[in-house]
Amino acid sequence: MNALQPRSNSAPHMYRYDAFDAQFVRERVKQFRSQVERRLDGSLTETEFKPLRLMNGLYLQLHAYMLRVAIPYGTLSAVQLRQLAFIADRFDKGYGHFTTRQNIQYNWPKLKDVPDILDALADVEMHAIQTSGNCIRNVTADHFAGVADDEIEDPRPTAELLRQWSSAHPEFSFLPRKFKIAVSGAEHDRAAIKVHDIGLRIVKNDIGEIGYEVILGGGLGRTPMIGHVVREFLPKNDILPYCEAIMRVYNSFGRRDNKYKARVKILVHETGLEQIRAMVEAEFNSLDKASIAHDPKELERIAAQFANPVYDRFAAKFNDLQTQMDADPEFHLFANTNIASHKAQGYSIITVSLKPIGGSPGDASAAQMRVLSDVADQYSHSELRISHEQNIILPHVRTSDLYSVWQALKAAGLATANAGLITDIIACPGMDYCSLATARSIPIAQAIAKRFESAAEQHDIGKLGIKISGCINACGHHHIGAIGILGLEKSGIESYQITIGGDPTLTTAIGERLGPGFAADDVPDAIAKIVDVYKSTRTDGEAFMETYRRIGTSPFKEALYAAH
Amino acid sequence: MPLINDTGFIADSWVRVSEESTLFAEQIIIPFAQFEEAAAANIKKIGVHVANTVKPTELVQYFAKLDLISIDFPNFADGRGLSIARSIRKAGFIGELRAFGPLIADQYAYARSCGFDTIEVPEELAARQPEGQWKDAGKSLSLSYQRGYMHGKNILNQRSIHEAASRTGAV
Repeated sequence: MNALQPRSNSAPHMYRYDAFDAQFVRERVKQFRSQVERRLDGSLTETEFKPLRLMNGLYLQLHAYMLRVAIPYGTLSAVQLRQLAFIADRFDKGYGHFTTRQNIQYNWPKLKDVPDILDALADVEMHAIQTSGNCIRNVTADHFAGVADDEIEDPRPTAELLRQWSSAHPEFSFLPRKFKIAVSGAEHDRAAIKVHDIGLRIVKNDIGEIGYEVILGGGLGRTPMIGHVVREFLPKNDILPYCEAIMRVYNSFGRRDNKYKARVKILVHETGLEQIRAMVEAEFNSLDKASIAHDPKELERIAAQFANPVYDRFAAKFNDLQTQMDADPEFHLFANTNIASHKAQGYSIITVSLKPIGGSPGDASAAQMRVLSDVADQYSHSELRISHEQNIILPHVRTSDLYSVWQALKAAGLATANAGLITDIIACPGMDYCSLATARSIPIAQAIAKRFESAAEQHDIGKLGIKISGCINACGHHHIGAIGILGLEKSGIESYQITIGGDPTLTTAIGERLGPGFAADDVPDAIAKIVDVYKSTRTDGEAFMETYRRIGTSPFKEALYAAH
Repeated sequence: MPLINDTGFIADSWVRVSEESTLFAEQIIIPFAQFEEAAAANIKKIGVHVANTVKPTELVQYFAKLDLISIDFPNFADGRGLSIARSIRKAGFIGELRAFGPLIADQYAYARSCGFDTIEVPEELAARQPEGQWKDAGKSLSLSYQRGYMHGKNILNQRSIHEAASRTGAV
């Protein structure tokens, strides 16, 4: 077999494993199978086994093991999604949970089944490698990559290069703490790159060369910090040596005495940006770059596989969308919120909301996954994306097909018209599943969604992101929600702190806390009060964040806490 | 303590000398702080044991006089020693690099890739993870993606070779 021939069982417009990738993943599965056996026969202690299983995505949760599967840079084929559905049915309880880091989690696998699940994933060129543990995690990217109309370059080839480079890295698999990398190639940041350990922004310099702006030391968790630009322009071919330099500095000097101070953001903060930059650059300059860097042809080889499908030129002739919207008010609502503009004329990007009113944010049943696979096969070149907002994207839909796709989605309960609205809530699994959680998240999201159930009201409120975390680890990204909710536990009672003004885009901001926490039952009322302040203060067409920036926190604080 | 290299568990020809003991053997590993003293004592082969907080640049001037550097791993999850090994090799050290501490068999290939020749582990750990496990673990991942490291067949280099071969029609 020619090692460079892509194998043939998933969509053609994304990276395909060659024989090396396939062998690597199979060997990793076999290695994990033997690690499980060696745990069971006592060769490995639980302490020794823990990082090994975590580096294969396996957590021990409240009720059972949880397996977190990587969806690198959020790109997924219909074949792969069908396999995720199969795994949900065969090894779990018939559903999966999509996370804020472009992963899918299964909440009920049995330890003995996990190696078989990993083999089933390898069958469709997927894995659970480094979705957890103190290593370089699944590399994420803009979920509109390759189709966004504001893109300089598709970030996924870079993300794939980094996925490979970081896989089973001999030097950087026992870091002080987890390490997350996100890549964006567009003017707008849809990958939250400023709150990652490394954020890479593809930029053009003065003479038109494409390279990376490197942002270091962002992160959420208990000490939220916005990343700093450590290198304004890094030539493309230096990406691996530069990352190696950053990682070596972090591995050598990151704190290991306190796990809450072990992320690179703390190292940057305590050492100072200038000093860190000097250390990284010194390490970088000491490297024999030619022996570390990728062959530019390798990035070309990867990029070629992400080439867009050939779009139909005549698709642009379709101009009945407005008529279809006018004829069907329900479709109209959907089109207003869940459709984004595509770089090819006559095509659109659909966001399929996994936030039905009363549902668990990010959950999809096996049946829904199959419907989405079929829809993708029929209408979206067999390709889907997972967004960090926990929704599913159909990236290549002809605008003339939008109405048919909407009908198919509606029949499967997947046409919730709320993308970006107040009920499109990001939430971590919280105390219903997670052993770290200090409070519930899902029921809070459900109660808020119920409160704002009316489509008319949601659309009137407009764009407003709510993000909920069930503990200070901030998996629900509450710090960067326009409204953020953090569930804590105070003497046995759940208490929810509310922040406002968080922003995940290039104008990144950490939300400001409004005051003391609320009991679970009082959260929907508190959110309603915040919304009322906005509605009564906004000027024509002003979005929530714009009003907030204009009036500040005081009116909101007053509405929530002033004695009545 | 048990010593491991690519051939399995091996006899250790080096003697570790603690801070209190006098220098007597022909091949000794001493704490880095005692190096000058040992060098003056005309010992045949000297190795030093360093903490995982040592700056690799501080060791460079001693490379020519050292036959072994032993790097401390206080626990297996602390990966600092891996970076130190990599930096020491990068700086040109060609003697024996030894990892000292409770590394597990599953880390063997990583340690070799970063430049270690041998691993010296506690008795208890070697009893739980006998020779066969170390040999298997060393072979479990035969491919690697990182260029510039030592272990396994490098995928990126292999692809370049294939690419060049297919361009010249050699495939």
